[in-house]
Amino acid sequence: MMSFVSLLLVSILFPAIQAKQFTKCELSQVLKDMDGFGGIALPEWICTIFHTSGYDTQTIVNNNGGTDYGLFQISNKFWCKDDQNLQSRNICDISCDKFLDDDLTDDMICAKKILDKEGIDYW
Amino acid sequence: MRFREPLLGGSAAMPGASLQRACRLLVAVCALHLGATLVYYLAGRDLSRLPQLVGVPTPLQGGSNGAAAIEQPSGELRPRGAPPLPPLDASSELRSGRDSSPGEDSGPRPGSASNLTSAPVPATTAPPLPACPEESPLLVGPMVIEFNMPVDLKLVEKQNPEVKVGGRYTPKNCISPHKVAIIIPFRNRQEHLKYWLYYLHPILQRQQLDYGIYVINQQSKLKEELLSVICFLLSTYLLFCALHLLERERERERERERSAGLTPAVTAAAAATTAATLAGETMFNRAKLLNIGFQEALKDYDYNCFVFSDVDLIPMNDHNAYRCFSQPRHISVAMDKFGFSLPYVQYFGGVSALSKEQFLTINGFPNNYWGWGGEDDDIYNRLVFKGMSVSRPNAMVGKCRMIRHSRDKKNEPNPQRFDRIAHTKETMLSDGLNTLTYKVLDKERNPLYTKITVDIGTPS
Repeated sequence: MMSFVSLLLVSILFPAIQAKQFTKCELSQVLKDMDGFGGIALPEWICTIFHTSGYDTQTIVNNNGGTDYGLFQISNKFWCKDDQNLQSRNICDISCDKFLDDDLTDDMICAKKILDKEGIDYW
Repeated sequence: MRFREPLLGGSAAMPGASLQRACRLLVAVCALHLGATLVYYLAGRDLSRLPQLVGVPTPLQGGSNGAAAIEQPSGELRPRGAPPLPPLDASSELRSGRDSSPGEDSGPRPGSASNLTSAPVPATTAPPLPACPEESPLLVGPMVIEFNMPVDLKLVEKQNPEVKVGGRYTPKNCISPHKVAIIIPFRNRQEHLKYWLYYLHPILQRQQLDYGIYVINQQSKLKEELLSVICFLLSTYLLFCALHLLERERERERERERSAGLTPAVTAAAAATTAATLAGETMFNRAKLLNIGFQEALKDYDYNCFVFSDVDLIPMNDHNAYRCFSQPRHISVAMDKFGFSLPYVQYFGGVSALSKEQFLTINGFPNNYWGWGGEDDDIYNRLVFKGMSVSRPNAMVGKCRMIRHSRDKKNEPNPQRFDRIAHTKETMLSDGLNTLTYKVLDKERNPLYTKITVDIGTPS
């Protein structure tokens, strides 16, 4: 019965974990470092991210056989590794679910790599 | 209640204590799962449709009966006379205003009685009503919008006695040029709908609109629903058998031959419940529901204007007119979710209004946007390609509140939306009102709204 109770508790707590929903201002602060990177100004990043994930860090979308994670919708096809795609090239050398947390440092590092290799058209 | 014979043949036996414990745990989990499914099913599904599922022909739902069946579990709205209810005060103000306003109202009513006594003129020939003024004198301006109190639709019905069944209202004292059908795309958002009705009915009446409310509910295929009901019943039956076998086993101490029944029964029960919960729900298709709302509303009345509103958006200022203009109108321009400003200049989502001509010019809305996002951008593109522009109120008048909610299931962001928006110009001729197909499953006339449940198919 104890395992039952703990299972119940876990299932109750799970939906209580909320996504981090950035505001435009908050995001501008956090992404200051990306201003001008690869020729993309900060306002363009903010606009792109709005349409990509609506500033929601927990955005997960299935897309053409792959899955895109987080604010920048980084794909498990090449850039990160998850259970679905163990053969991923994993260029950013990171587990995909790290893109779902509130800490954007790892997201930004990977996004810069993507910008270098594929350009803004990735988004 | 006890059966005499074990229903699954053989008799229960306990091969080992650990297996016994495992089986018990599995049965308990199944029971919990079934209980949760049952609660979710009853809460989410519309019970008044059950006779139809079983094949009994239902008469058109009487307004109050249908509403009663749905609204039973809701809480009570206690009028405290405290600040949180200014719209309530406004609507009572409306009624008292009507009673005491000079000219139109006090004239005919007591007058007609005296007319009958003084002169034998047939009272049915009332003087023609004047046209409603360009801007309604009943507007109150900014309002406080909150979502922290429960709403009882029965009370809302009482607070809006002029609203006729199906959510129809026509101003009594003047003729309105705005015959507005308000179309709301809907799936499993009954709580939001209650707030919407609570706030919007008084506002729409103050705006002196000739309006009707149409809630278009996306439903999975009837077959899939029936299948999930069957699976549910089957799993309940199997679970009951499993429990019965366990009970029998507990009563008898001595061991018997292992029955074929117990473990497979429990497994089957678990499988059936899983199947029941997974049974068909397709991605939400907002724009197609709006197309359907357009067509279905026109069957009721010759509306000349269509307001398309998400169910969770409430205007904060009643000067924000829910009617049509010479250009397509964007109404939800300053949502709290976007910091009370436009997220981007071409934004056309949330609440918008198109006249019948404007809607027909763009061949209605696209039918192929499944999942969240993009369809409003496609609509914007259509307008622009047909030479129209978007008309908006200013950001003060256009403030709106959105009811906070977590992301819906089966309404994940549509990854195709960016490609699709890039091709609106080509697709708008072949995807829209002219290619709309759907099936109406149910049409409910509730006191405050008309609810049309439709089967819109699946992504092709």
